[in-house]
Amino acid sequence: MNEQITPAQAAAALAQASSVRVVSPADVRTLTAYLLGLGAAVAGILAASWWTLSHESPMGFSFSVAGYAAVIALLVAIQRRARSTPRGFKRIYTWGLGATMTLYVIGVMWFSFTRPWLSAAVFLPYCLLVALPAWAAAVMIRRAAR
Amino acid sequence: MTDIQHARFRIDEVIHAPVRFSIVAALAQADEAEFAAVRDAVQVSDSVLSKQVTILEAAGYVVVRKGYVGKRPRTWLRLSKTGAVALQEHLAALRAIADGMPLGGGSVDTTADDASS
Repeated sequence: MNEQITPAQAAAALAQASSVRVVSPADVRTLTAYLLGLGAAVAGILAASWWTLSHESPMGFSFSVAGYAAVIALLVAIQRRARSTPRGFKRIYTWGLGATMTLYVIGVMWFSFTRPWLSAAVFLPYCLLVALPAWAAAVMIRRAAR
Repeated sequence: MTDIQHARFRIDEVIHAPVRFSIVAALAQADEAEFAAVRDAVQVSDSVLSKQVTILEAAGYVVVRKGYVGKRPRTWLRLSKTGAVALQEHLAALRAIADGMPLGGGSVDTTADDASS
């Protein structure tokens, strides 16, 4: 490029670049709420599945699965309102949700193959642990977007 | 006389235009952004943004994805790896010009050739 750019023009262009904001605080809140909700929903369905099956309530199990599906649909609808995703969101979301779902599967296998049924004092804290990776991802997204 | 090339030769002509520069700088902050969000951030009309995005897409700097949210069509934009590299090089060139230095350090005598010996 042979056109002369003065130092002042270059500095103004740099200032212009740093002033543009496409990821809004509302988008960050939406995506944070989405991840927090996902973690709670997965932990909730795990706890509900364990409780309804250990109390021999197939109807209860069906309702809890239906409720989980409704919550997930609502969360996806909320997430779609975000008009942008901050840099790194995809990577953090993948790892966070992946870890939560892995712990969920382990939890299902654990209570399915353990007899007598696991007690609430043992299994409910595990359900909380299942939610933690998704919740940690929500915190990381919020911090990364600042 | 100096062999150090002035930083202006490293300015990216595609990105240099003010609107395109703002678009690329905005997309650098996001994994992906909706067309309307970029339009609002850069403060241009739909037609202007569409035209500039077409140029950036042809240069390989921006990737355009079309889809639906419910029944509503939506367009998402993201910066390609090529675009991200080009932006970093462009920013480095601008910083060098702003600092009065060529890329790679050292100083450049920008005055006219000294006629006196």
